[in-house]
Amino acid sequence: MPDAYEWLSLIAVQQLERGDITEVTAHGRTFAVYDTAAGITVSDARCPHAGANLCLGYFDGKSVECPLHQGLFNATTGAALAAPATRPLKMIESRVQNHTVMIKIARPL
Amino acid sequence: MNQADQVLTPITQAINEGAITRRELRQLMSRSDKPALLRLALWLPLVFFTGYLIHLSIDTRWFIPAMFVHGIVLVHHFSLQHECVHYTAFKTRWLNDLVGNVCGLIIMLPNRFFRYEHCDHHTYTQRHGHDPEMIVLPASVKGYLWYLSSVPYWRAKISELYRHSIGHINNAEKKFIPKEERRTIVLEARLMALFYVCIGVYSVIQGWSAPLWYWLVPVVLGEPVMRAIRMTEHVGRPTVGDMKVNTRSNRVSMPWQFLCWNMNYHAEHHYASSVPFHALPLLSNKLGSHVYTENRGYVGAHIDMLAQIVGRKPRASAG
Ligand code: FES
Repeated sequence: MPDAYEWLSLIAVQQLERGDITEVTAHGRTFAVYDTAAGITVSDARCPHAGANLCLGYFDGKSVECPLHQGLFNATTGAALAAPATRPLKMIESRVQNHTVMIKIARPL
Repeated sequence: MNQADQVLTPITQAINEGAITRRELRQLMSRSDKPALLRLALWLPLVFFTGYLIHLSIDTRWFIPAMFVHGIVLVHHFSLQHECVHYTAFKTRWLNDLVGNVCGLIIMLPNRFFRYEHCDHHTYTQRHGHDPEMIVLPASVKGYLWYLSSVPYWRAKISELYRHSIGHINNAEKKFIPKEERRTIVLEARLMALFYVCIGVYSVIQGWSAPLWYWLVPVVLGEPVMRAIRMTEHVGRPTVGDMKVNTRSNRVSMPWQFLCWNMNYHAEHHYASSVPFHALPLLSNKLGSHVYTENRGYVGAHIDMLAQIVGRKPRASAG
């Protein structure tokens, strides 16, 4: 059976904001790419609480704080850490290959 | 996320229009415990000093004025609590919770509940039926004075605390308090009510009148000042979602700015609520004409409101 997922390139590592969040629009969606203390991670850019753009939030290297209501999320696991966020952030599986951030997303049917 | 699904925070608009860059915003958002601790180092002596004025004025005609002055300082714990519910007062998150709850006890504003209510105020600023903190431009001078008396405010707050203590969250509140948090809100109200009851009972049994003269009466006397300040933030501005016009910043003198923890930069705060109080003046320099500023300060804002109320100026509306 063919793989239902595919790895797509998102952004060159050298284009990332160091120690910060980089907003990337690609493949018809907007992603937040985090340069965390533990490596690069990627999430949906939309806050699961009320949809604000997390790329404009405060990032301390570990967690991202939503710019609208200051809900807090772990930027590696996506766990909701503080009110009003109750649902986890949608993380996207990612890896770095040939100096490029790659994401694993569902292949369109 | 599809672009269409995204909620546009006002700062997105300012970035898109080139008023500020993401890097500058990041710098302004950086957190520190130091500015708030320094301000508290002045704040606490001020609270004790104005309290001491009450002590000095006992049995003199200055007793009520002293309680009023102390009350003005006490009701400004709202400004500090407001900063704490945004987690921008301190870098250390638990300090925001601790200080926010203490402020809430002083002015009878449950911290967790306020946090949730305030979230919707930021999402739906000045939108009728959606903004839970909206103060409607009064229809008459009588209505204006009635609001300033703080009677409607206290009536609403006391009934809110009572309702939550008996476990009742109304339909409007259910919109912004998630299901999983309702028990916490009820527990918070019960603990707060219990705290007041304990102080009341102890005071009566021991004949201890200090809470009355150094806390409760001053807060009641000072609240009209806080109502007047809160009115300057949005009342009389258009009831639309556009942050460029729906919020008013006020240029005020240094003592007022100190008391309100820089919340006179209210439009800047709504633009980027993750920017701490100490960085708001810098944000204000960046945003410039992106925000509406009343250069005559609080008094100017009230002149504007009254001009609309008496019909000397068209009423700001959704249109
Ligand atoms: S939109 Fe992000 S916490 Fe509310």
